[in-house]
Amino acid sequence: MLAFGLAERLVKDRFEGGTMRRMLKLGAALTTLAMAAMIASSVGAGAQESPAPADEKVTFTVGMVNDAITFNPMFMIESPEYATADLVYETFLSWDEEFNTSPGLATDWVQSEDGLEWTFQIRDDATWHDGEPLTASDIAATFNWIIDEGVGNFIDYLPFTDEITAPDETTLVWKTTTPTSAPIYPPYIYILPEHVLSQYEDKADFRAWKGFPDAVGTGPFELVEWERGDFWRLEANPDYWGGAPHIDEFVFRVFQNQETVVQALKQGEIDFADDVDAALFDSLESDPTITANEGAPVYFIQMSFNMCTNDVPYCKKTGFVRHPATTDPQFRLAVEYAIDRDVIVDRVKLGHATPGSTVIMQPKWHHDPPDVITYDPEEANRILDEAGYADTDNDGIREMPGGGEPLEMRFIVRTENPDSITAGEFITEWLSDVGIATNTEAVNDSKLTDIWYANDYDMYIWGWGVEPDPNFQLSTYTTSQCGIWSDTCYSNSEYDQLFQEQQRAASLEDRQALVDQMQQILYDDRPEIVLWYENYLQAYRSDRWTGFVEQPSEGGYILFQYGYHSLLNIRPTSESATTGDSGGIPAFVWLGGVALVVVIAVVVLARRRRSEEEGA
Amino acid sequence: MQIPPLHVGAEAPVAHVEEAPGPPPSSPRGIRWMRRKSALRRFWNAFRRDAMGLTGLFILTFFVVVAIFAIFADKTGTEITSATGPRLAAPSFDYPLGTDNQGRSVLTLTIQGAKVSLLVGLSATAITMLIGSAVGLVAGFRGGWVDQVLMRVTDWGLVIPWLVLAISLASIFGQSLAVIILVIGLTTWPSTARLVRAQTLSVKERPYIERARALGASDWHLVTRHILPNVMPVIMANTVLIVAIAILSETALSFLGLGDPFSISWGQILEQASNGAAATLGAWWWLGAPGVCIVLVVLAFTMIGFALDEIVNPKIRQR
Amino acid sequence: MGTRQYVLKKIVQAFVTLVAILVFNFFLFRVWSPGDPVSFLTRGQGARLTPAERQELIQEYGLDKSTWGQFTEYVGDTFSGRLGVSSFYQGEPVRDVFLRFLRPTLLLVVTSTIFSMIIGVWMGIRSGWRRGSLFDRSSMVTSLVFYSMPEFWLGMMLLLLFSTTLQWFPVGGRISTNVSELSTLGYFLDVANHLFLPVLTLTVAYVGEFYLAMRSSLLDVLGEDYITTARAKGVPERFVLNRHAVRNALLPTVTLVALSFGYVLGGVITVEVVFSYQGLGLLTYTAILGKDYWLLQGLFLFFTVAMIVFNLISDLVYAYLDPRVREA
Repeated sequence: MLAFGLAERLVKDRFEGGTMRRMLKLGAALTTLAMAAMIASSVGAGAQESPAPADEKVTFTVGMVNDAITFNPMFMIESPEYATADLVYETFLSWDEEFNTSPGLATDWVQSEDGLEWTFQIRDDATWHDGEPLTASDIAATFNWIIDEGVGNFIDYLPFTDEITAPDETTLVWKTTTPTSAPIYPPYIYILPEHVLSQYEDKADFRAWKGFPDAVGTGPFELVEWERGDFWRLEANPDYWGGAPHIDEFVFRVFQNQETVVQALKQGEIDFADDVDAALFDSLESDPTITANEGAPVYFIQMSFNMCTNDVPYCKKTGFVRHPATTDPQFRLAVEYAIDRDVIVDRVKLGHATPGSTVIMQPKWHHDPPDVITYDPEEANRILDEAGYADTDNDGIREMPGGGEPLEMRFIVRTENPDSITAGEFITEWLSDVGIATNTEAVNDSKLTDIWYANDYDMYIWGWGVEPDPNFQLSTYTTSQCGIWSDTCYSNSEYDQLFQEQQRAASLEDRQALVDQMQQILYDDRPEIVLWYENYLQAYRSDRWTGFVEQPSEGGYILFQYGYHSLLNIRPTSESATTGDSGGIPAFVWLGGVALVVVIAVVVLARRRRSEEEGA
Repeated sequence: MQIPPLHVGAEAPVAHVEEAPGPPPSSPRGIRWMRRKSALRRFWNAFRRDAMGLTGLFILTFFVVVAIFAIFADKTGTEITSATGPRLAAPSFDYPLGTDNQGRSVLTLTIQGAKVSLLVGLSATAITMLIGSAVGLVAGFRGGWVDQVLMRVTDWGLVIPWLVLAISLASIFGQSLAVIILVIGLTTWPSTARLVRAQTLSVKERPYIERARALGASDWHLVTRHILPNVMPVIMANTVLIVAIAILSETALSFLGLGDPFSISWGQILEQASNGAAATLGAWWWLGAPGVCIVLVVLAFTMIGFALDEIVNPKIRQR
Repeated sequence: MGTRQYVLKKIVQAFVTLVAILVFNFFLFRVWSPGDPVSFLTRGQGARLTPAERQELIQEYGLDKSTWGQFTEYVGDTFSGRLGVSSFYQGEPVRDVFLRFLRPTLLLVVTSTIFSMIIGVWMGIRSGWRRGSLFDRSSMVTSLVFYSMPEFWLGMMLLLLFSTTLQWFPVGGRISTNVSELSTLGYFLDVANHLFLPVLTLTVAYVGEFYLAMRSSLLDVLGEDYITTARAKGVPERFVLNRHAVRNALLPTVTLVALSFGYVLGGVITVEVVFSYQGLGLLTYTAILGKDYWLLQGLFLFFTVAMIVFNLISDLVYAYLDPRVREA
């Protein structure tokens, strides 16, 4: 500000004359206008965006790269959305630290003799954020709504349901058409209040709601503020039945890339960095104020092929565009031989991962295929040769059998995940070594979702967070999930059959055998190639926070868990743990510095001009 | 980002043509050739005296040599699957410019980058100069409604912010070197057109043009034999400056992720460095090497261009 | 020609250019973009719209009509402010998204331009006047070097130095998240703190333009006859400078401000990306990644219209300051 006033004076002194006066007036007018605009805009924006100042609060800020698109609990896709919903809403059963089903809103359960009826005891001390008490009829209403409206996202959590009723406020009765333990997997469905659900006429109506404002759940936090693309804020629910959190505010902050997240953590702008890049994670090890935690894998990263055919209803209805080779099992097998997972784990993930095989990675359910495909480009070449993919025009790229379309695949990687981009580069080179060309494109998740819905791709890289119970993950490979959750629109009636059977399995051993079988089928058919199981890398300011609980208790991860293990336990290490301000030197220090420089410059100039005048 | 020089207050540069010493040549072509040679000699003498221009030329020659070397050099160093070096290593004897996050030598990447960056810069400039000169010449020479229409088109081109247009075109037409070159060419020609038109207008007014016309010279003859040679010096000076802009444009487009993912240009290296968290991990060599090269090459072209400008425009020449 | 005629002529020209822009914009994003606009709305989760809403939008934007019909619809919509919906922002109107991001960019651009203009012009005058001096040569070299630098690279290096190494300034973003707890002064300081490095980057990047232009046009003017005359008459050097040279040399610089806006914009986009500064530049980048064509179309329109307006203003200001132009 000082600078402009002084500049104006300088201008005034140098120029004279008619035109100059005009110029001057113009210049002065422009400058004043600009200054006014600047001040007005920053103050105006301030008035608009900052709610009334609050008292000293304990705020816990998490930084992430993925952005949230909607907080509607029935229609989410992205992980930050789920992370948030986990705080606001609850599922009716929870998980303990070893991922076993444990009581939540339902405290006790029993299955009838014939196996066709489950009875749950619902707690009486849970309340909704709007003050209404939670009753069994809310749970029944949520489940019935999903069944009635056919909410594809969740329907596979409620198989063989005959009827779900709430005979009284604390009892839920779930009748099934065949014995199944599906009700205690448990279903990962957020319970919504009956009095809110009933306001919406149909699924489309409800879907239009973005989940905010007016998010009413039973969870330990309430969603209170959302600056799209920037951050969203949750406030503690002091009446939470499990005990009030030790944090007053939970903030999610979106960053453009991993780098800025880690920088922000180091400078104290945020308290917790979720899903940290491998290289950046390593660089945090030496920082004394930060604890970097490496947890057991919950994510796998896969490369999916477009498996759409006209036999699959959604594909037929929506249409699809894919290279003919993707539906050839020999082609996919050759591709798997051409990929060196060990190199990717070592060079892309820097050892913070394990080579992937089957789609279920939790130790309790994981199946190790007896014949694992390892990196063997010669074998890949042999398979492609035998299948008839010859390079007839000698340009280094094979063509379809009979000299048709060249093997040029459209390959999509995600900008939100730089690892996928690097892995993509490796895969591109390996594939070209065996005569397969790729057109690689990096897009963001929003665009990839569109592409996936339109079935307009050949291959892409994405990932899954796999639940403790394999039911959901396995459901995504069934035919009916095409257009809802299915990565590839893979369709195999034998698999679909087995899926239903495992939901009806009489004993745990029976179920395990079926789940093993299903994993093997998926491995052999390879609609997608599981590239790696990703260790969950997280880091936080251990000089400010303590109380993190690992899940599983040995070598587990520390936040965004199944159940509120860390969440209700973390607390500041000292009184002054408020965060949120960006680090660095306070603004008035450098502003003062600038002002000082300007003053000195003016003095020097004035003195020099005076001597000029005297000399002239 | 630079602004193409508007050549404020452009006046006709006088391309003085001296009589060559020695026995007079016999044919018109011979005469023309002698004149051109002496003009070039005079030009080179002037250029030689300009320290800035010479420095620029020297730097540019260095990079051209590097680029030519890159064409014949082994490219496997840029492949990610064959990278064997230590990751993110600072410059050392083995790796003079350090390595990137996959262990590739930054020196190799930078050398290969020179080739692509210069190629894109020169190709895009060729397009710019062709379109710009053609439009400027025709508009200036023809005048009338042709001029009006072409000038409106040029104004329209000048008004569209180049990066926004480039982004739009690239995101619609895909990511390849060809698209990038085309896009840069299409967004940069208007300023050249303006310049060439101004020059053409002033050359058009000269007495010998009128004389030639009176003698019955055709339009084609006038343009190619008289106007073009006199506009050429300005075009040349402008070309050099446009290359600088083209290189910077490619860098910006690559950084935003619109570049060709398969070619290594300096802009691409910067993009990879940015994605690979180079700033946070302290890999200053990864960011520094391509950046410094860009600055040097663009500086070289700019200095040469300014030197040419001074020669071609007598008004700003040192007295 | 007279003032009125000149002004009118310039306005008409601006209008013609605007029409050309509209046509081009329409073709670029509606006709040539991959995937036709109708399917863009109707398929995919892009806008997360219900079928009823999609149908409504299709009718609203006349996407079921012929190309000519669509064009007239498009023009009508544009003038009434209906610029489509953003697929990335889940069906939020482009106009609303755009307005949210506008202010931060204005703040950034205006501040940087003013600083670089003042510093650049002052240096240019000093340099041109004392040609060949140490000041001239050193500022020339410095300006050339910064002129040749990609501004986002400069931003990254500044980030490396001031944020990573020295930790003097925040890493990026526009404001901190504890914004609600700050007083107005605190808020102002917070914004300034985040603004420092981006403004520094843009200012340094563009000081060179103004410097070089001012210097070169001053030198042009100094070569004129009337300067020689004034000197021969014995007019003191300082008056020669102030009354004659600078006054005339400043005129082209005025034009430069307007035209440079297009290039400043290019710089703003990349610099906002480097600093994760939530403005229109970052928005453009997000739209590119998300292939959000309607948002891109709206941004394109805004930037070009702004350029047209700037050019028009600069033409008119030029006329105001230099009567010769009007009477030409």
